[in-house]
Amino acid sequence: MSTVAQTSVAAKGGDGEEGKKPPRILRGLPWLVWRQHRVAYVACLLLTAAGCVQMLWQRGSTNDFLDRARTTAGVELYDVFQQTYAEPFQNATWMMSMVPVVAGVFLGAPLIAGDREHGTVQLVTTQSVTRGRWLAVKLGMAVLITIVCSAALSAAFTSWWEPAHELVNAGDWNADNIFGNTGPVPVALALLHLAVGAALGLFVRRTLTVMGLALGFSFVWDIVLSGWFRAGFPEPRVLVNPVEQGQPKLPEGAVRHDNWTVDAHGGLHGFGTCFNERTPADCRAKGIVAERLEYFGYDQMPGMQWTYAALVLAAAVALLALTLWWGRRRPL
Amino acid sequence: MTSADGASRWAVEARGLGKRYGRRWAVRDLSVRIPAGAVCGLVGPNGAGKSTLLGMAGRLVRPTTGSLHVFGAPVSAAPGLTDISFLTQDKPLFPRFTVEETLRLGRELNPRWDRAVAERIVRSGKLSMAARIGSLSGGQRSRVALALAFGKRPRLLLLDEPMADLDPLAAHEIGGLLLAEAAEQGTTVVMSSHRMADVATMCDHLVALDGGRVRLAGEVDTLLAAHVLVTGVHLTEGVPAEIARHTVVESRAVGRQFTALVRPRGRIEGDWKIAEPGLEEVLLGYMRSPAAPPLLTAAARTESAENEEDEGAAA
Repeated sequence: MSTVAQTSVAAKGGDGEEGKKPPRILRGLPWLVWRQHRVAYVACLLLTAAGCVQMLWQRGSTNDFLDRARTTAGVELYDVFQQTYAEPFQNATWMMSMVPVVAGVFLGAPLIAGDREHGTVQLVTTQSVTRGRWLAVKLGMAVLITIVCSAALSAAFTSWWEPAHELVNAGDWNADNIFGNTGPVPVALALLHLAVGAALGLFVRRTLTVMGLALGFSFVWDIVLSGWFRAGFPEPRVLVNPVEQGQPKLPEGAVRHDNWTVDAHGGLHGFGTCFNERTPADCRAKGIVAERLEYFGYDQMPGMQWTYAALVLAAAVALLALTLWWGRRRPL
Repeated sequence: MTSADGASRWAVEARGLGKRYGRRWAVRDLSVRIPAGAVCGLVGPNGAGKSTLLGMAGRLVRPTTGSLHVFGAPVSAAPGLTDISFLTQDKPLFPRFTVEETLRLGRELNPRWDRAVAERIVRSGKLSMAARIGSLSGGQRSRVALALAFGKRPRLLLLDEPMADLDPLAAHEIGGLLLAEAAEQGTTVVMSSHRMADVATMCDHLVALDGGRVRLAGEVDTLLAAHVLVTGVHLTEGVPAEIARHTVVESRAVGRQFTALVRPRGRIEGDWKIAEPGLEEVLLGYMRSPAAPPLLTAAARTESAENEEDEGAAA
């Protein structure tokens, strides 16, 4: 037994003389990819850690505040909360909205474009590894870092926001700054931006140009594309009141989607049709018999988020697969 | 064409090989082979297709037409990866890696990595293992790149202009290192070069390209022996009849003085001074005369091309 152990040590070819060097944890391509991008990866991990610590600390403070406020009757909770926590939440949502941008511009864009620009793609692909394996490891490690960072940040932010969800952003969780920054959504968005940045590197050789294009994509995404992904799929719930009872009251934690007025035949009319009338009888005179409220309940939020995240994730995975296939098929 | 032990005699074998970039053919209908164990120079003017040919052999460029075999296996086959080292012209390395990390890259990515060889090449240049690649001079970087290339223990080493950006001293040193290591490991070397002197001193085989086609290919000695330099006095216009019987690569008349580079078929008759040309004269002669018929020696010809090429010294 001992002889076998000894030969295996000897066969490693003088590893013994590396006594004071750090142990060889990563091997092969993962080592190379980590070594090449370690500054960016370590920076991402450190920023993530700092962000998480900050948000978890804020969470403790917010929870203390809410506990005290809820036991103290007569306090106008909403106003005090806004004074104290509106700004931290605003900063945090801004930081969270930067997560996909960072993934696209600083992790994704230089991933392939950088090696093509500096010619190191030729160095690596003329060693004994195929281009496909190299790209797979590169994309895989970037995906891993992106998932770890975005998932940790999202978990910290969600756990901070959740107890105060009725207060933050006036309870509107369907707005982009909450919906897109909590739960699974940041992870999916970050992966999509990463995939776009990496894929652009297949076609544009200059890293700076690719970073600019990746930044441009994040604007286009926010303004145009994200709306397409969110359009259509959620079914709002409906409350209808006779016109005498006025507007239906929004359930706790829910988000208003739309208001309608209804005539005797069930036809829908704009909210304004019966807005300036003083009494319900005036509305009835115009044919309006009921008020209709469409809303999303708070319990619908996870379903909506996971559906949206799944769609975005599918796009990201498709793009990553396409990148890998394209990069394998032809020299870079 | 494999020998008894199953290994191919030919390190590189191209048949009808072509590469088109847009409308321009960088390499066209190229059929040539380079025997295993050769140190082969790849020469030709800028844009002749040297880098494209090396790129195709090094799997960085995909051929448009034809086939390319390395040691008998198609170049696109995965097992060929370990057999070939390719040093591109700009010798890309990661500038933020240290020399040691660069060698570790070789070790991590190559199953046949020979650490002793790589470290010997680096150490003989008195390079510190802890130095960053970005801080090294051009010659030192070339040395590290060569260490990486030889440490892979390739059977075929492809070098694109290895000496281009080196000062004469560094070029001499790297050239010596290259030949010594290639001889010791039995590596086949194919190197492109602008410098005829490099090719003349280092190479025993030669492939000359122009306009994406082969002009000359084969052993340097055989190629040289196939040509003569003819000089003499000639009074009329044009090539004299007794010279025109042979294959005239290039001819020139300055006043009454007539000079020609000739591939003789039999004896040259008449009152001519006959001299053996140097490699540079032969190469320049072919580059200046695009119409001269190409010459491939028996060693460089593929079977398909053998029937077409019936003339030449090898016959």
